[in-house]
Amino acid sequence: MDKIVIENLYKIYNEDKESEFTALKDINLKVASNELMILRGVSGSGKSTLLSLMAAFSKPSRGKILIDGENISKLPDFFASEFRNRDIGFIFQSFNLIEGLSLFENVKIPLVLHPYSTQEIEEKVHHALNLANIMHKAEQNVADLSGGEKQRCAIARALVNNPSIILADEPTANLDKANSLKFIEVLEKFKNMKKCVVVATHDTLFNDLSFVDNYVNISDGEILA
Amino acid sequence: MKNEDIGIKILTKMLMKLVYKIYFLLRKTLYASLKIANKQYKQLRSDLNKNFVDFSVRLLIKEKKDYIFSFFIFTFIVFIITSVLFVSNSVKRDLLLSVQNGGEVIVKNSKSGRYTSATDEEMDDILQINGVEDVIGMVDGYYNFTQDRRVFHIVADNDLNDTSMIISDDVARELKSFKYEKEFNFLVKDKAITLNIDKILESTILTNNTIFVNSDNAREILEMDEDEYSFLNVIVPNKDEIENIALKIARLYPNLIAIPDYELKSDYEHLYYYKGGIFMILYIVSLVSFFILLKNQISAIYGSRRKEIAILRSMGFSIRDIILVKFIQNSIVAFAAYFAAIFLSYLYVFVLDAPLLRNIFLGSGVEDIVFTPVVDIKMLFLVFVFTVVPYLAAILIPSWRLAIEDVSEAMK
Ligand SMILES: Nc1ncnc2c1ncn2[C@@H]1O[C@H](COP(=O)(O)OP(=O)(O)OP(=O)(O)O)[C@@H](O)[C@H]1O
Ligand SMILES: [Mg+2]
Repeated sequence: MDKIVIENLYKIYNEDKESEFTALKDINLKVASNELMILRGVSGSGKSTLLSLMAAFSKPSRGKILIDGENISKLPDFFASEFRNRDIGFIFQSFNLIEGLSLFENVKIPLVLHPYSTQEIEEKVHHALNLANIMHKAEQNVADLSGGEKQRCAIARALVNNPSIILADEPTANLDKANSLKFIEVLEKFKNMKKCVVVATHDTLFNDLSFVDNYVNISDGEILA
Repeated sequence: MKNEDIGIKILTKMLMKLVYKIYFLLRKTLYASLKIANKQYKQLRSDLNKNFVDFSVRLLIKEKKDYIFSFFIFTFIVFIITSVLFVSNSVKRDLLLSVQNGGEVIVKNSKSGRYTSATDEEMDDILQINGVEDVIGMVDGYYNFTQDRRVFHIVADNDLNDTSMIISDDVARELKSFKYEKEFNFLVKDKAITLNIDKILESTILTNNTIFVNSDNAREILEMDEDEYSFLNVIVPNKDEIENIALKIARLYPNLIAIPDYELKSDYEHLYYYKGGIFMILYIVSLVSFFILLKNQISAIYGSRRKEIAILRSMGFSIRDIILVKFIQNSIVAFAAYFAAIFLSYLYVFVLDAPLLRNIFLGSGVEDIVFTPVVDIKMLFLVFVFTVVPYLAAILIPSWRLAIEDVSEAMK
C-alpha cells in the first residue's frame, strides 16, 4: 500500500516576482508504507525542499501530497501540526536540538503535546534512547555532546512518537565516516521496524545498499527516470 | 567567586523558588479552567495539559536571562504605583476616620470672614433645635513654638490632670532638641505654663504635631475664655436631618458656619489631588518603564528564539501552541512580579513607613509617621488590570508573528 503519493507537485519560490525560482517541477512519486527510499541529487537540486513539503513544513505552489490518502498540503495549521506530531519523525542535517536542555528533555518534546503520565513519558523516551543507542547520556546537556551523539539524540527524538514516516535530510553531512556507517546501520533498523523512510543525501556511502528499496535521483527540481 | 556573584546567585535562586511557588499555585487553577476549555476542543488534540505547561516553564527557566530584566522592571512599576496608592489610601482613611469620630455637623464661629470662638450661649441655642441630640464644645488650636518657628496642635483632653500632657513622638523629638525632656514651658502673655511630659504617642498623620492637655490648660495656652470653644460638634442621630439642621443653625446665627460631615469627607477625598504634579511624574516614570519593559520583552521574543520556535513547530507544535508557550511564560513572569511588588510595597509603606514618599505626601517636617495598613483589593485589582493585562496582550503579537513563520525558512 502506498503511504506517500505525490502528484504534479511544484514549488516555486518568490512566485510572480523577478527572483522567481522553480525549485520543484512536476514531481510524481510514490512511497510504500514500509519502503526505504534514498533521494539523491547534487546541492541545490531540491531535495530539502521536497522533504519539507512531505513534512508539511511549508506548502506547495501546485500539486498534491497525499499521506494515507489525505492531502496534507491543504490542511489548516492545527491539523498540519497534529499530522507532523503523529506521523513524521524528521532528522535534520544540523540536528536542530534545543541547547540548554538535556538529551532526555529534547527527546521528550514531541510527547509534551499529549496528556501522558510522567511514567509513560519516561518509558517512551527510554525506549527511543535505547533504540538510538544513547541511553547512557540521557541527563547530559545536548550542547556538550559530540556530533555523532547529537545525531543519535535527533534519531531518538524522531522515533519517540512512533511515527509511521521518517524523513532524514543529509543525515551524515556533519558526521565522520565511522558515525556515518553507524547511521546506515540505524537505517536498516528502521527498515526492520517497517517504517516508511525517505533519506535525502549526496553521500556516496548510501550507494548500493542491499536493504534500500528504491533510489530516486533528482536534478534541477525534476525526478530523473 | 566574587561576593556579588554569590549574591546574584542566591537572589536568582530565591526568585526561581518564588516563581515555582506561584507557578504551582497557578497550575492548579489553570488545570481546573483548562478542563472546561478543553471540552470545546474535544475533537482536537488536547494541547493544554500538565506536560505542556511544565515544558513551557522548563523553557522559561532555561531562558531566564531574557526574563530577569523584565521581571525587575515590572516589579518596579507595580511597586511605585501600589506604594503611592497604599500611602494615599491610608492617609485618606485616617482623615475620614477623624471626621467620623466628630459630630455630624461641625459649627465654627466667624467674624469679618475669619474663624473665631463659639460661646456657651450659641451652644445652648443649638441644643434647642429639634433633632439635635447633643452639642459638644471642643477646644483646640495652634501654639507657636517661636524658638523653632514650629506650630503645635493643642487638643483638649479632659482625662489629663492640670500638670501633665501627652505629646507625639514628632513633638517629643522637637522638644528634646531644645533640651526639654521632662517638661515644657508654654509662654503665654506674661507668664509661663509648665507641664510635665506624661506620655509619648506614636505619630500618625493626624497627630504628628499634636499636644494633648487638660481643657483648662488648653484654654490658657490658646488664650480663650471659660465660655469659649474652638468649634462645636453637633450630634444628629438621623442622617436625613443633617443638612436641614445645618441650615437651621446658619439661620439662627448668620455668623456661624455649619458644615455637614460628608462635605468635610469629600474635601479630604480631594485633599491629595492638588499634589498631582508629583504623582504625574511618578506615573510618567512608570509608563516609560512600561514601554522599556515591553520593548525588552518583545525583542527577547524576536531575538534568539526564532530557530527554537521553528524546531518546536517541526515537531508538531501548532501556532496556537507556540503562542500558548509564550503566554504561559510571560504570565508567570508578570504574576510573580506583580505579587513581589505588592509584597515589597506593603513592607515599604506599612513597615518602613514609606521613607521619601511620605515627604512628598506630608511635607519634609514630618519624621515619624505611622501609616495604618489599609489594603484595598479593588485598587490592587485595578493595578493588575492596568499592568499585567496590557503586558500579556502586547506579548501576544510578536509571539504570533514568530509562530506563523514558515517552518523550513526559520530553520535555515
Ligand atoms: N526561500 C527560498 N527562496 C528562493 N530560493 C530558494 C529558497 N529556498 C531554497 N531555494 C532554492 O531552491 C533550490 C533547492 O534548494 P534545496 O534546499 O531544496 O536544495 P538541496 O537539494 O537540499 O541542496 P543541498 O544539498 O545543498 O541541501 C536551491 O537552488 C535554493 O537556492
Ligand atoms: Mg538540503
